[in-house]
Amino acid sequence: MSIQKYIASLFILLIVQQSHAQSINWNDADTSRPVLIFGKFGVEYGVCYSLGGGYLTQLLGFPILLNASISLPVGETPFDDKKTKLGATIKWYSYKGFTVSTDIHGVYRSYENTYVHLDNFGSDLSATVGYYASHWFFAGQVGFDKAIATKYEHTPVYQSIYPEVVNGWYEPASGGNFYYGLGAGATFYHYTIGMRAGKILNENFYAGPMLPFYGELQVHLLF
Amino acid sequence: MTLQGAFALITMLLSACTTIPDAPGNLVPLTADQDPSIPAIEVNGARLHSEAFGPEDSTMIICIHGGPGADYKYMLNCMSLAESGYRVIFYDQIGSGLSERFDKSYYTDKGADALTLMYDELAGVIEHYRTSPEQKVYLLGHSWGGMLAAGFAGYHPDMVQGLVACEPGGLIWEDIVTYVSTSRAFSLWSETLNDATYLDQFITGDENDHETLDYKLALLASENTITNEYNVDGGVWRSGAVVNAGLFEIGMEYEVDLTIGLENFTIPVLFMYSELNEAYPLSWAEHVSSAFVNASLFYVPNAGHSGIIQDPVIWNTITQPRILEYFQSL
Repeated sequence: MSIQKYIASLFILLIVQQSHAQSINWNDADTSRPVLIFGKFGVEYGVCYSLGGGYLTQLLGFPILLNASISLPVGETPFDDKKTKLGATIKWYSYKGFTVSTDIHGVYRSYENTYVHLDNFGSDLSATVGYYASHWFFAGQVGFDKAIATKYEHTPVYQSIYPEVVNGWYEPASGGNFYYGLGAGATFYHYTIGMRAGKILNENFYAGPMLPFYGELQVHLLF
Repeated sequence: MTLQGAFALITMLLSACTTIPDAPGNLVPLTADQDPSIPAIEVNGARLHSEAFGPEDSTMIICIHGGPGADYKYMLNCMSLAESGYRVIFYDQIGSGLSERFDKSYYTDKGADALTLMYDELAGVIEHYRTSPEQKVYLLGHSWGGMLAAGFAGYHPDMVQGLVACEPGGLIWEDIVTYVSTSRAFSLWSETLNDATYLDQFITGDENDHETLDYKLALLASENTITNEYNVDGGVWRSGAVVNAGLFEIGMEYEVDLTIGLENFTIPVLFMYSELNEAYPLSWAEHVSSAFVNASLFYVPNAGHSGIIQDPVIWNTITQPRILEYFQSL
């Protein structure tokens, strides 16, 4: 996909962040309390913490949570690596607590080490099926996180090692990972405390990342 | 400006600098089979980046780099041994540095014999440069290169007349696992660990996508705060990710043993270890070197793992003088 098409698709898909369908309690969500704020802490390509917010509304008769977040890994150098997400979580179907929803997020992330600074635009798409009661929920999730186009800006250190290195936007996709897992949570006074955990697998299925799993604790508040 | 106009402007700006990710030469250097200007030799069907310095007929010193998957760039200080009259030979091992790449199955299909492939390659390098059957061969191996040198000395004890091993991680699989674990035991909260793991969402690459995987390995190996090696001074030309993965996979499956036959190698061995490699204390040096019949330990102060050879001051004032003393004693 070209960068133009990607950006166009971001506009079309309401550019957004990752996977709230699993951790928002749909049984507690209604448009009388449309504002969501949340915090997360866990492991996903490193030890990370994130903050975000959202707004619950209706689109074509479907409940939709527009949301955005920023995630930062721990480390001695703050803000050199980061991931931001902007997108929507849509509840498509619900019957007696059983709910099907999807997450569509546009992703911007950056990375920096001794050799290079990377900027990346990607997408994160996932589907969630779960059971949501008034005070608890349980759900399963599958998703795909794609790094679509990446800009490489090498440091003088790497350029001294390999002077012919080419900086700029690289495409097609430089990477992608599937993930699947389970989540559960408890809700009281419109607070939801949830957790999710699962496995991450390279898009080519031959290997996983160095940390081939994810897991996080989340706190959500609707008001 | 309308939204459509702004969108068109942004996309035009971005598309102006679009390029291709794994085109040869974009992120990592070409290899000897891709670039005929790279000095190379043919050994056992592979084109190996290689150079030799010093008098052709004098005692050979084969410099064996670490990894698996590093290259000899960081060992170039050893070139000065030629000034002492030795024939100093460098080569990038198969799939490493600027040598030819092969698919992972090329190694894994050989099973435990993949180690023999590495021994045969070293024997081929020796044969390529040897000018007479009487010409002596000294091996100078660093890290994985020290492990390979030890395995080779046990496999071909009559082909080696001297051996310097600089911090070989371990010579039996259990020790290799211990050393790799210790030397990569970064704190969960550290920048080093997160720099390594965070990258996985940017770059993946197919199993045999050499350009991408070699580049990624270079980023991962840029520094190590435990072994205190820093490849920021041009430590490697190009990493060899596929051979690295292939040999580790074989090691795990077959629990390789590089001590086989070492009891037949009775020539004194010079065994070096550094002050700043926290994963290589004296106790570990004593443990690993005990596989040799006759090894003498040498402590290199103020150096990390690669600094034993890569740091020019350490090399000129500490490492090289001791190596020359050792060679002259043989």
